[in-house]
Amino acid sequence: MKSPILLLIIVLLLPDCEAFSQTKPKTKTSRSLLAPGEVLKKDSQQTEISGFFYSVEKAVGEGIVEPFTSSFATSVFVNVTNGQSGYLSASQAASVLANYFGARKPIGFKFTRMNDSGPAPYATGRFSFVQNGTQGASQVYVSLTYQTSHWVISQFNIY
Amino acid sequence: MKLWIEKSDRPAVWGFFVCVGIVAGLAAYYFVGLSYLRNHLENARLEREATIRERCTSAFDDRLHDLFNVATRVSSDSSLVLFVKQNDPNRIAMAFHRLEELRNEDDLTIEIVDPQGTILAWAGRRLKDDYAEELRTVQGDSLAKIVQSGLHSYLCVGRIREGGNLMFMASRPLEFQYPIANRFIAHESMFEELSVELSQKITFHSSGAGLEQEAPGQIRIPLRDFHGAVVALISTPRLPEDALTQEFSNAILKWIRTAVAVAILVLGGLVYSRVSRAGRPWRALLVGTIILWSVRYGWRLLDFPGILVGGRLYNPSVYASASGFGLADSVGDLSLTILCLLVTIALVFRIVLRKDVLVSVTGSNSLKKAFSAASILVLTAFFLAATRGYGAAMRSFVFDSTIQYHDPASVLPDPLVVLMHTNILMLSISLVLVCAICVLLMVASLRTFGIQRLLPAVGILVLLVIAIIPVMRSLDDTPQVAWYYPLYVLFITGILLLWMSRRKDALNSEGSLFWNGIPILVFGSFLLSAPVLDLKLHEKEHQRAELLADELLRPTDTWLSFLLTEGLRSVAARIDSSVGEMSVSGAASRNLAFGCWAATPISKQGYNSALVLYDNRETEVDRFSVGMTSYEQRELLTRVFDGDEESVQMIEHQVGGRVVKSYGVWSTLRNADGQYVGSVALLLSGGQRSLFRGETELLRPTNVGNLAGSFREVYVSEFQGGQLITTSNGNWYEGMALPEDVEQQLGSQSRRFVWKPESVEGRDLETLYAGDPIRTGHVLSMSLESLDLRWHLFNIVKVLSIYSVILVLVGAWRLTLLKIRGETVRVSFRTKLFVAFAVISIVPLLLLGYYNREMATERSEQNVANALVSELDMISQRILNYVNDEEDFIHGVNDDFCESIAAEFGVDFTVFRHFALQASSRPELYNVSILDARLPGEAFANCLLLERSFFVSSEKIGLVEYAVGYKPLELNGRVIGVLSIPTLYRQKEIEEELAQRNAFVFGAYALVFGLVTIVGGFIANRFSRPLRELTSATKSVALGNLDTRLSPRSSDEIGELMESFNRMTADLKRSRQELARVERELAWKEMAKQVAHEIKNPLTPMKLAMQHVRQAFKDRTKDREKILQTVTQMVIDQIDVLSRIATEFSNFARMPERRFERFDVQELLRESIALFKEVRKIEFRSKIPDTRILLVADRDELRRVFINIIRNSVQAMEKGGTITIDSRLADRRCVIRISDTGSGIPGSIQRRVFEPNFSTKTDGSGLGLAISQKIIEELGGSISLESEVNKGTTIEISLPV
Repeated sequence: MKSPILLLIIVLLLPDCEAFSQTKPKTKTSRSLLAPGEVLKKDSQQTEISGFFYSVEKAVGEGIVEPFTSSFATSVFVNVTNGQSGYLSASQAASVLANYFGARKPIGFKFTRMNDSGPAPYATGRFSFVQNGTQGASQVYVSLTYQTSHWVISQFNIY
Repeated sequence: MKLWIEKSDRPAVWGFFVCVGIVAGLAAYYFVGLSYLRNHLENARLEREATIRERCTSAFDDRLHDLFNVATRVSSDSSLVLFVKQNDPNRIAMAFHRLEELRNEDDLTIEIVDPQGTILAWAGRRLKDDYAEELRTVQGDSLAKIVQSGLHSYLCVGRIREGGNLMFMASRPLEFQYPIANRFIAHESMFEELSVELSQKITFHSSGAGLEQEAPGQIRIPLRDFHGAVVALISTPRLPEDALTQEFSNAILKWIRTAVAVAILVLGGLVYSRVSRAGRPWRALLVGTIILWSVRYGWRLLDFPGILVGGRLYNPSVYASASGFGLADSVGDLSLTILCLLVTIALVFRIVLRKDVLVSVTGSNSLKKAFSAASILVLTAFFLAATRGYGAAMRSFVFDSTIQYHDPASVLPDPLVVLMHTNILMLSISLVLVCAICVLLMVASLRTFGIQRLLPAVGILVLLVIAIIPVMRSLDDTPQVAWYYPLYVLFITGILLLWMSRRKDALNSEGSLFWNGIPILVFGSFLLSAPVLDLKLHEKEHQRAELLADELLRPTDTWLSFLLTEGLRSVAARIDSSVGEMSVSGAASRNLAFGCWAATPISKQGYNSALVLYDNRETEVDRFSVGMTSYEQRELLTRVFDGDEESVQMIEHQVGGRVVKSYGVWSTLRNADGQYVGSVALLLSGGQRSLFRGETELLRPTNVGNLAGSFREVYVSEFQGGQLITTSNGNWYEGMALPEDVEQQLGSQSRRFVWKPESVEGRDLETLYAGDPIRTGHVLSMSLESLDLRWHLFNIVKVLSIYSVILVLVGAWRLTLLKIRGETVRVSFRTKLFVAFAVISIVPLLLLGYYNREMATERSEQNVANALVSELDMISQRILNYVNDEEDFIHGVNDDFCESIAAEFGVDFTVFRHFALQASSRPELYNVSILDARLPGEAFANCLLLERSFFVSSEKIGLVEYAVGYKPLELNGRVIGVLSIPTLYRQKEIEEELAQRNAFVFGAYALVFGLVTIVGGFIANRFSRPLRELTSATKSVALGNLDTRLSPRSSDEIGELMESFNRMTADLKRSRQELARVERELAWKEMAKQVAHEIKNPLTPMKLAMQHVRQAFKDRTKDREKILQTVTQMVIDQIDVLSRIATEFSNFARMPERRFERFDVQELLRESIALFKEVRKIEFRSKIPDTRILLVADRDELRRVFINIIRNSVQAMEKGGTITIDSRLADRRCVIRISDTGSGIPGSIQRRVFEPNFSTKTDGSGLGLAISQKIIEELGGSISLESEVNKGTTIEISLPV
């Protein structure tokens, strides 16, 4: 995430994008039932989370992990297709994911499903890549948690 | 270049150029090869495809012939054939037993088939009910076939023998059909192995019919049997255009990087060896450090040696730290980095010691004082920062890794654990050395303030550290070590420095000091690392507990919800292509539910889960579940279908006092045209085990796990409104109040977690209280039983064992070095005795430990067998109570019946009728062939043929070995079936019991070993003391101290030897005194002769002159006045000569009166050297340590001795040279050596230099060294000389202190 403000602006300017429109779950609390303060709070939280997910999406799309490695929780659940799975520290998670993306040349990535509300927001999308001259694809699932007044990544699954 | 390179550098230079040559060659090969490959891509591709075809075909043929050999071997076993042909049950049972013996591999199945295809005897899994069809189509006497069974495709090879009366089948899994990762499912796949080997995705098709034709973009390889018929097919995608070039590039670049890495290492070593030879230690250190870290970073950039080694050593999921700019991305990287750090610090330490900074920093001007004060402050802050850094690194070792440092279940630690402990050891040694460097430099700085002695200096340092700690901690948000830890480090380092200062004089070289210091350094490092590691592990366990509590309190796990919705998507995609199978018969026969489950991400995560398929009439057509009871499934399915489609439903239930959440979802299934074909329900249990993603324990009815293998009991309780509502802790009760301080902290400080030490019924607990962020007043508590001393002791023993092995390796390395150098290896008698005691004590302990463990395992297995017998009896009685006759048994004992009994007893079981599966409380495991639906051959033989009442066998599910008990079910005196109970969950209990035994027994053994070692050390010390005293006394006598006496403490041989020694020295002293007396007499006689001779010489001319004068006066000659004047002048001159001779002899014979005093001989030496400082062309090298050596002697007299010797050395070096003066304390004697690089003394006259009146100088009296010897000997010392012509002379003085 080079500049959170820039991303925020991008998010605000693109309210009708596909990924954003898919983030509204059926169970979302109706706006009419929320107090005005809560509406504002919810909106700002969702904007922050969406911005966060877009930064992750951009980085994964470029096959790099550095932009979001500083946003890992103390303990992250990481699962990658080659069998590495478990709770890892932020450093370990960064290294494992860097190795994974370093061995693959990304073709495209987009979060196709995003849930930006609740205590554990998540987003998922298909990651297409080329490895050793062969095309492949895997599903990426990223989940967040609120830790020390920030949203941080608590799960990063690639399967 | 030729001038620059020395002979010793040549191998390294050659090595460097060889590496450069290899790099250049590889680079040329890379460009040429790549260009060639691009121009001949099609040919290369065809060649590669031919290789793939050949490899795949040969791999299949190997398997085929291997199985053919097995079948032939089995068919050649005459006893087996004899047994199987008879009708005697005992004989047939022996055939089963023999077959099991011949089946020496777990995945192998061997069967004996009659001409009708009926299986007569078997060992291994069931593949088919009979082989009638195969026998109908067989050609010749052998057949090969691919058989689908359960999760695997098997390759079966048959061999027909005995004139066609018997067929011997050997089968083995060839391919695994589902992408599941689970230790309970064996994942044998020849084609997966081939895919890895060839870097090519290879797909197996069990039916080759119609697929032989090549397809665009696909290579198809037929697999043929012995007769050339296609039995299966392999397909693999054609190679993409850049795959070959990329593969080629990767392979060459890997070796180029390796060669470059070796080249920079060789070059670095070469440059350092040149710089270090220049004799400027600080510059060598600077250059060496730069080179060392440049090589390290160079290797990092080249990813070396990771590209060659790889594996767990370079896997970041094992360990990866963000610190060090990528130098600690894996365990391997970390080890190299810490090694570099240790080498750097050790080099600095060596220089600090060599440069004798304690002496070099002198002076007392105010600028120097200010500089010294600043240095002390900076060094103190640096030391505190280093201590914090050490704590942070230790935290990283624990938190940034998945290594289980203390695994009580295993006696031998994992190799990676050993490596990490080695890293910890190296880091701890680095910390000790850093602390030692800081202390030495600070002590040196304190000299500026006139503080000369070590003890007050250390006291000031301690006070300084105590004063600075609060400042440093106020700047530190996250302190990594306890506030007193730096003082502890200082204490350990102080002991080490004290030991060094005491031993430095005793050990004759720096090398000996280094090698002797290693065990102390290692032990000191252990004392430093153990508490920090323990603290960090404890912190991590707290973090895991908080994570678990957080997970349990979370209302809905989005990850689990996501898995369910993703699972639905996977099922929908699969059903779309298998819609024809959505019928009761179709689905069940094809294991559709299992196939769908295997396709979901849930199967890869190992959760307790279930998948149920319904057709369009809402009838259940197939179901697969793992780890979920039918009650759980029923309850959850009811909830799921009450909810909306694709809406995740959750229920909570208590398991062992813990809240376990289960989730479920359902969805309709439609075909490609959008028509409704049925529905699916997916269920998932988010129990505790699942949280840590452990494998699902398939046969365990209730899933109560430990906290991530910590092997200690965990109690979970819930509080609502300040009162306990549920608990798994038997000592707590409902309604118990939440501790007030906890409630207060959770409420007022908005804290999520509060840790509180508690003691319940004499047991110490650590309890975590976690506030629920959603439900007000809801608090979850988790109590972890504190580990007692025995667990800690066991861990300490393991770590110390690792350190001991490291010490042994270091010792072996030293011995090897000494051997290579051709030096003699000296091991003291005491050490030999100590090692002998240690070996003698550890061997029986190891044997005892081994037998104890074996006995414990046997006892555990016996306990398991007893429990099995009891459970088999209970369940068989319950079954037989419901069964009146065989008809009842056939129709009444079904899966539901079994499950109800299993739920009642909490034990899963299976019932076989004859050898086939009748019913099970876990039918799904048999449905998908995770478990074998045929009674194992040996169980069949024992229970049904031999009618034994109990049989237990060891079996395997996937990689897990477990025991299974079998019991025949007897109704009205007739065996109607066999009951079996697996003990998979008890296996864990056995492991836990063994872990506890390990901890307790090894702790006790460690105490015994420690005790034996201490006693052994004491005895070795006592036994060797007389010998050491004798050795020391002999050395003392050799140095001239004949007053040396020993005190015999016993009347044994050693006592006699000491007495003899005392007598010998007394005799020697007497003889020497007598000899000295004789020598003195001789000397005096010689001197008298000399005196007479010397006196005579002037007397004769005097007499002649006087006669001449008398004659002149008598004759009254004219020039008598002149003659008188000449003669008197001559007489006066001769009298002067006589006077000088008299003075010289007087000086020799009679010394001035001595004034004895106690003074520091080191200081006197320095004063004496100072007198010659102005002499040109002479360099003085003083190796006089700072420690004081006090002597009682005449200070002036001894000064004359030193001056005399130094002056002789100066005079022997007219063209300049070096005088080296060193002094040391050895065996209560002060040994002073004064060496010069002068012309030396020829051997022929060396013995005479101490004789009076001997001199090689024209102006010397020849009495200087003689007087010196006299003075030294009268002080009870000795003086000796070593000299070599053109090399120099060394005078050694030994004086008693």
